[in-house]
Formats: sequence, structure tokens, C-alpha cells
Amino acid sequence: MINDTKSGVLVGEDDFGNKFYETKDPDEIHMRTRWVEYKNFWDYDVSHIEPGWHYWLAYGTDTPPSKLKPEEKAITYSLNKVHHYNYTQTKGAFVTYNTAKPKIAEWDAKVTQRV
Amino acid sequence: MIRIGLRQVRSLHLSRTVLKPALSATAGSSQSSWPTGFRLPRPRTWEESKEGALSKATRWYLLAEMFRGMYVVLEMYFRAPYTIYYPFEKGAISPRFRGEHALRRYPSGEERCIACKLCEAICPAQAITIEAEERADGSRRTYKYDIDMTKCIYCGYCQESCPVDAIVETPNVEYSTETREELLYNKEKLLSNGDRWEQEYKYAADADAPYR
Repeated sequence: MINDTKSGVLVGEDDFGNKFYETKDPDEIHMRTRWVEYKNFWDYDVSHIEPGWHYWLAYGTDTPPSKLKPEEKAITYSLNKVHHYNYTQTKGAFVTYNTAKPKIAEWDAKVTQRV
Repeated sequence: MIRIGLRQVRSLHLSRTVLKPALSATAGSSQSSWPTGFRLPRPRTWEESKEGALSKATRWYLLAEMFRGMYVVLEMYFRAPYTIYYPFEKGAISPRFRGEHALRRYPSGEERCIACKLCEAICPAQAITIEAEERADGSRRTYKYDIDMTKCIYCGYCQESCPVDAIVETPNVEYSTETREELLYNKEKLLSNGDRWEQEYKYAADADAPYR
């Protein structure tokens, strides 16, 4: 971690390769007992964390996704298993589009062949 | 990451906390009640104080209260800062937190939304736009489900009104964008959010289930 020295146990690793640590040290500051080491040291963002681990990191649950029992896991149907993160300011940024067919058809001007 | 005889260290610390349970010098307190002497009594007024005039004058001319204040500042300077290193650590999230929207699917892959338009009707900011028609297999589905996230006030009414738990607000807040246009979500974006955040939503829903 940048700017700090801490010691803790490795809890797990998410699909992106980020490593999650936890310490039970009672002298550690409240809300500073769980932290993440990003896979990429130079380019990191909170959105690089896999959802689920994100919730564990925010003290929402004590059971990280890797320790969940099979029946506790969310059954997801996802077309692509690859998680993606916040691509803003890059070429992959979300561009919205209309999912509906336009209600008004444009006049398609066609010139008929003159006889 | 350094790992030094952790179990030893922990047992040491535990014995220390048993001896001194009130307040740790560095750690933030998770106690629900204030320790004794936390609330200071009202300071005595000039008339009420039993101090002599000479001692009062001495305190006044030697700026005793100034030095007292400066000492408090010095004390805080040597105390460990209470700072959460944000991208690496996070503050707590409530299970009822209302963040970015997502459209969920059934485990079979079928989208949940049945286009009842309750969320569109209840939305106080009128941020949701739905258009629906009969699908080829006869079921009623939306072909347009847009949320203008710049209009949304994150009240959570859409989530509450949904009869099939299709539209939910995930605990995600880290979706800030560079341009405004990226926040105009359409159905595909919301469905892909649902695919990704399903596990996290389940965590939050399970934690909140006993209170609903």
C-alpha cells in the first residue's frame, strides 16, 4: 500500500488479481482494518475491485466472496464472465444509445426513373 | 506486506485491552456510550469562580489559556491521524445504501422487468423512461428502459415499487464519469450492471432481509 506500512493476513484475491488483507489488531484505527493492494501499482481505481469484494472491503459483510458456501453465492447469468470497470476518460467510455426503433419514419425521397 | 509473528502480537494486545478497556490512545472508539468525564461541566463565570483577583490577573497577563490551547494542538500533532486511505480502504456501507441502478435477471437469464411501469410512475424526478411491447414469445417486456442518472435523486422508490425486484440500487458509488452523456443509462447498460453487481446486491439484501 502506498504511504503506509501495515501488516495483516491475506484474505483472498479477486478475479482481477487484487489482493485483500485484513488485520485483527485492536490498536488499528477503526475502519482501517481491511485494505486492498491493487494489481497494478501505478494505475488503480476503486472500480477495479470485483463487486462483492467491494462490499467486503466496505465492512458490509465478514464473509468474502471466496469463502461463501455454494448455496450463498448469487446465481448469475452473465453473457460475459469478464468484469469490467469504470472506463470513463478512455475510449471504452459508455456511449448511450437508443434501444427503441424511431416512431417516425423519415421520408425517403426516391427519384423515379423518367420515361 | 510484512508479516511478523502475528499471533504473538495479537495475544499481547488482547491482554493490554483487558487491562485498559476504556480508550486506546490511537484507535477510534467503537463504544456506544461515552466514557466518564467526556462531557465537561459548564465553566464558572467571573462571579462564580472562587479564584483570587491576583491569580486571575496572572492567568490573564501570562496568556495561560493561550498556552493551554497551543498545548492541545501540540498533543494532536503527535497523535496518529484518523485518515482512511480511500482507494485502498473504504468506509462502511449500509445494506440499505442506494447507489447505482441495475436491472436484474432471473437465474435462467430471463430479465425480470415486466414493464409494469410502476417505477416510472413513482419516480419523483421523472428520470425513468419505459417503453414496452409484446415480445415474440408473447411476454410483456420493455424495449426501452432509460434512466437519466443526472436527474435521479436516489430516493429508492423505484426499488421499493418494483413487484419483481428487477430494478435495484446497488451499493456501488464508484461510477463517476467524465462527461454527462455517460450517465444517460439505457437498458443494456442497466442489465450489464445487474449481471456484474448481483453478488453484491445479494450480500446487501441478505443482510437487510430480517428487517423487511
